[in-house]
Amino acid sequence: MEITLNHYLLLSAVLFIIGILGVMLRRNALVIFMSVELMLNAVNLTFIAFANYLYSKPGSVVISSEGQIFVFFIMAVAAAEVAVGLAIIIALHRNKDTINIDEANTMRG
Amino acid sequence: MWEAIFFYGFAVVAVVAALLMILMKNPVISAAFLVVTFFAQAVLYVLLHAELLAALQILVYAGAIMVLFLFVVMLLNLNRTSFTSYKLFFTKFFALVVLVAILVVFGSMLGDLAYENQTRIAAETPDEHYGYTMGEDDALQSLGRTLFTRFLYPFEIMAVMLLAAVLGAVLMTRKREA
Repeated sequence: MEITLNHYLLLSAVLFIIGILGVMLRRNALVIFMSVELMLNAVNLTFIAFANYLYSKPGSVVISSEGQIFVFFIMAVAAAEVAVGLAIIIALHRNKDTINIDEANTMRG
Repeated sequence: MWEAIFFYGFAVVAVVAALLMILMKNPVISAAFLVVTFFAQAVLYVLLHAELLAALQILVYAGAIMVLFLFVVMLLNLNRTSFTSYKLFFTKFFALVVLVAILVVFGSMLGDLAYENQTRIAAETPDEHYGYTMGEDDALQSLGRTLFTRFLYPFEIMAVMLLAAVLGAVLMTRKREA
């Protein structure tokens, strides 16, 4: 029972779909944000899985540094995104006293 | 064999925790389940020979990002429900997850050490792609070399971007003087 690239891609796809469902089903801005994080993580898993299997041949495991460095950058972008996004949520809560995204329907501050 | 057991075990943990995360009413509980997913993914990174990224996953996601999330949830103080009934269950559950994750990390380290003593297989063309062969080259060295040669400019841009994000967050949450 060998674990192949397809196993990881499938798992990553399932996690990504759960993230999409979270974004579409929930109205709480914080939970939507967490779902976005989940999707970013699913992509990270894809990158790392490809980095492991791309150059590998039976008997020798060659790991691509490029694939792992991409994950590096995605993590940095996710950190920046969380900082800005949570600031937006706090600003929304300050203005509207709610974080339900259905009530955030105007561009006016 | 062990790889399959760990993969299926932690894949199930990740998927179930992700599902529970989007289904829970309380954002704090959602955040807790998101941490479980992140930990399970960190274990999968170790299985994929990405030990550094597994450590970073736990430090950056489970550490920094989740603390930020919980900080905001509690700052906004949206729901005043009590957590006493959850408390005991979650502490035990997390303790178990953390224990297993640590054991896997140490186990993989021992496995890599054992691997290095086996026959060494030379990389096919090490200069053609920025990669490393298990047991042949140092993984961290290879990552660092790639990051500071080929990806130097993106790295610098990333630093500027993080600074911009910090400034933007501060600017946006500042109280407006009337």
